[in-house]
Amino acid sequence: MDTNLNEQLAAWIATGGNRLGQIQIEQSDEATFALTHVDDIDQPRDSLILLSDLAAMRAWTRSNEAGDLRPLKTSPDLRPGWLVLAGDIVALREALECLYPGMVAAYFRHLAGRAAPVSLRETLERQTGMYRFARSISDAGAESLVEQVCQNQRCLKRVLWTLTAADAWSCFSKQKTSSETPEGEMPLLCLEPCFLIVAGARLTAKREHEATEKATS
Amino acid sequence: MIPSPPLSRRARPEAGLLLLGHGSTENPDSSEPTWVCADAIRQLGLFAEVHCTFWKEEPIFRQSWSLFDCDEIFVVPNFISEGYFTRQVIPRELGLSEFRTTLIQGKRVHYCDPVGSHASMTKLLLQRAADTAPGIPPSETAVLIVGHGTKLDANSAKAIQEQVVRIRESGAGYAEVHEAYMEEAPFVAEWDQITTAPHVVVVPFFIADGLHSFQDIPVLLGLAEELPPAASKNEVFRQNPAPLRGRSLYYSRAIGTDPSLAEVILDQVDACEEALHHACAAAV
Ligand code: SF4
Repeated sequence: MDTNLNEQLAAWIATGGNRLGQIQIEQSDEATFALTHVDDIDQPRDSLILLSDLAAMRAWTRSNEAGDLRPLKTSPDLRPGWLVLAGDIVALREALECLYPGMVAAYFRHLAGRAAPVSLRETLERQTGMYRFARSISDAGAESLVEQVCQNQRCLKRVLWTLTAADAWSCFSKQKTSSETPEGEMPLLCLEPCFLIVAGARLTAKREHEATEKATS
Repeated sequence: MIPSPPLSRRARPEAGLLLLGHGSTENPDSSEPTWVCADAIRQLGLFAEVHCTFWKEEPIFRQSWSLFDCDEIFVVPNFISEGYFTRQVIPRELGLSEFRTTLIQGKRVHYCDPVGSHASMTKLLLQRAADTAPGIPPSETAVLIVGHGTKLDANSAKAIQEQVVRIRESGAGYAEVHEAYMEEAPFVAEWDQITTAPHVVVVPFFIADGLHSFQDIPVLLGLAEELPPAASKNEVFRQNPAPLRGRSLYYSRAIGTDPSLAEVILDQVDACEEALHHACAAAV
């Protein structure tokens, strides 16, 4: 039988895994884990605010230092100053699901070769209702949208999907589209376009359409 | 917060539970009721795993199956009614068939009805009405269940109409029970013409508090002037009762913010399983 995700997470930690995005994980004894912001590694623990349950973690990650909402949990503006203590691997997984939803699963499924990325074209083709129009976005419009929305200054995930199954992005560095990370770091993997890209594609497609109409009228 | 499970509540230690919410990139309160229910149900230990996914937040609907290790999953849309999302968007994004059970990536996935359509939602509405106007005799009180109302989605009105009938027939003794909508008749702005009782309790039939419950409905009721978007949200719920148009008006938070919604979710799982048993029995 396959090992489950919690077991895989435990094995990853046992072999030196200790970082995802802006989160540092320290193991104080075999099954007790302390999570902090990477900027707080050297801070005394008692100077940090203890986020004692999932609701407190959700409240903390909701907005950034400027008070702006964080629609993406993997945006690089996670506020420092907090501490999460997880008593076992189940609690650790729950905390990570809360701080970086879906990222543990995406990584281990990817490692096992069971996470096929879904292209932008395939995602847009599937849309209905108000997002149906998004599929008419041009290739150039799509590339500039993706560059703008997914860049590291806005999202720390690695973009593993492409425009069509056969393309590669020219707008990103090699690092941004690969799952390679320094030892001990779990990459945050994006396997298909998120709601920001789908909504952005709709707007871009509309603008492109209006511009063509204007030019031909 | 959540009472311990009734003795009849079945544990499914091999199965997973997936709650689906709409989520929002702008309203921080949109996904919270779904997360709160997931936390509460997880604590009851009835399922091997409990996860949430969303349309407009992470983890997204498309990540649903990767989150689970278990091979049987009950999926409950934390939506107020059947409609575009439960019939089109969710099945499409999750890869569900038109049947109640679909085999996806080796997992047996059972698609339950949305929370808002379960009969136990009535109990929640009655409790909410009583809590919002404590000590006020039902015989002198009108209950108004408020929805968005739009010609695009007749189902949300249908869900409200069903609840109105159930509350009327519940024996709770309310003088009147009515439906009202923001964008179609009967209009919530005309609440004083829809009702005649001296006390009026207004319950928004939404999963989450947001612009509608914090701002749009209070303005339509006459409880508030136009509010700036950043106005203190809870203020509007603290004014009960508001003396308005010769009546006492009581205004509640969105029904989905009630922690007992977790019970309705579990009821919906039970109902789904019962439907599966009936289908099996009919097939043999
Ligand atoms: S599509 Fe993926 S990489 Fe791009 S912003 Fe959304 S989550 Fe981040």
